[in-house]
Amino acid sequence: MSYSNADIIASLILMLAKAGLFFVLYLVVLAYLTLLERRLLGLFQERYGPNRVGWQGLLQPVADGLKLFVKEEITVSGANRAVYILAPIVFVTATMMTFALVPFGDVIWPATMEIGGRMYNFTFANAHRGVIADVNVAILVVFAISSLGIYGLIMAGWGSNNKYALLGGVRASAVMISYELAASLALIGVIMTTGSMSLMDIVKVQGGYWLGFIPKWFCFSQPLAFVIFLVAIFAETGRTPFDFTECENELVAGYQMEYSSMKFALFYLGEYGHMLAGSALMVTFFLGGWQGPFADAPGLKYFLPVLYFCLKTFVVVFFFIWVRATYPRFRYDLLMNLGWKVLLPATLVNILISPITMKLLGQM
Amino acid sequence: MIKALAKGLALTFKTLFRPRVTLLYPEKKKVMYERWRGRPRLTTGENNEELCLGCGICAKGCPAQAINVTAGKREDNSRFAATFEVDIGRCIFCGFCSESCPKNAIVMSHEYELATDDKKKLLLNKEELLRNPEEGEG
Repeated sequence: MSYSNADIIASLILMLAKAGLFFVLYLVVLAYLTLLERRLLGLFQERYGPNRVGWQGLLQPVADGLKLFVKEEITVSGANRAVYILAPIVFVTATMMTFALVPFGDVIWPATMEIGGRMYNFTFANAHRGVIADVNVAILVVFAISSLGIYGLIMAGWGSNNKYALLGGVRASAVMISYELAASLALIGVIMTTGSMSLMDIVKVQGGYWLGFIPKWFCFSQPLAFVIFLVAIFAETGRTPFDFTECENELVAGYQMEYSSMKFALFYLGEYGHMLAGSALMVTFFLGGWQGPFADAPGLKYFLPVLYFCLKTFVVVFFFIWVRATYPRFRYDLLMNLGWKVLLPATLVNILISPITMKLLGQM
Repeated sequence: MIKALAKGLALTFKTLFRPRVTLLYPEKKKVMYERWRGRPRLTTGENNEELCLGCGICAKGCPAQAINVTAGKREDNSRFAATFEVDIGRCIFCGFCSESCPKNAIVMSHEYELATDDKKKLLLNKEELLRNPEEGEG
């Protein structure tokens, strides 16, 4: 397919618009996710969350952000300056980059459109599709990026010039590495069924229904992989019940101890960004992505899939917060036990039985 | 084990629909029970005359020595309190003054919002003590 220069420029402008809009929305959603978590936790505990600042507390994230901005910016003495400053940046950037690969809609712009009398073709680099970067080995890229995020933790622990922060950072990164293994192996069943590592293809395969009403999502055809991935995502994002590294009521905050003001705000937002990215990946792999009823009706097909994606991600985020309100914390050795001795063999079992179920369900 | 996990989640989910136990102060204020001891206040009789005789039994009985009374005589030879001061900073809200008063002239009201920014304002004199917080006027 040959593209003229004007087509390429039009597609690139569309891609930049997608990325820019996503960036702005991501930061706003992240800030209000903190408020949502505090209000929901309050609801689960028969109390109100923050509801004083602005109507129903909607200005609370603004107040929090302002407070963190004007706090004193401390650089610990003896800290390795470059490492100390780069650590939160690496952490946040890694979680943000994951979203460049997640498909949030099917088609969000018509493939060819007439503007000012000239026909523009927007399909260069799949710019008209609902994903910022349509890579055909997207699963590999996703896990490579989250491995980079682990570097952020180690850098934070090391750059703080503090033995306890170092130990906290080492423990946190050990947990993340162990559970990332289980998470990636759990996806092999998904890759086998789809036959492709592209996230767009994985979502497309989950269209349609069995028996007319059960959607063909991978959470129904690969339940073991679904459960393993769920637990692994909880551990990777550092959420309760696996949050011993930054349990706010026990340790003083582990690897984040020596951070104040905006660097701490970046870590804090990075944690919620990680939770959002984990939810988005869970929705993409197992809950059908942007699929839903009437997703290809002519008038609705540009924004209804996006709505479905956002709703499903919100449901998974609600589940994250629900679990945090319910379960006590794992001990560190039991945590590593679970990751290596329970989840890893379970993923291998899943790889064994996955082709059998695929043959039975007629997907092979 | 899965059943235990699910039972935990179901319990937390049920609490979503329970009413919150927080009292939204200051929009809603808690109504205290009848004998609750707040700020001491002086009472008045049917014709709005002060009941206090200035005898000083409350001052002698106060464990924190928060009350200062001086007696005076009116033209018709009846006793009254010329000055009556209660130091709210010293008062421990025990109610001994009210229990010991022979004329029931001093009682404990339900007022508790007594914070102020000036220590001198904590020394309440007779007019302030006469103020009835329930009716809004002395």
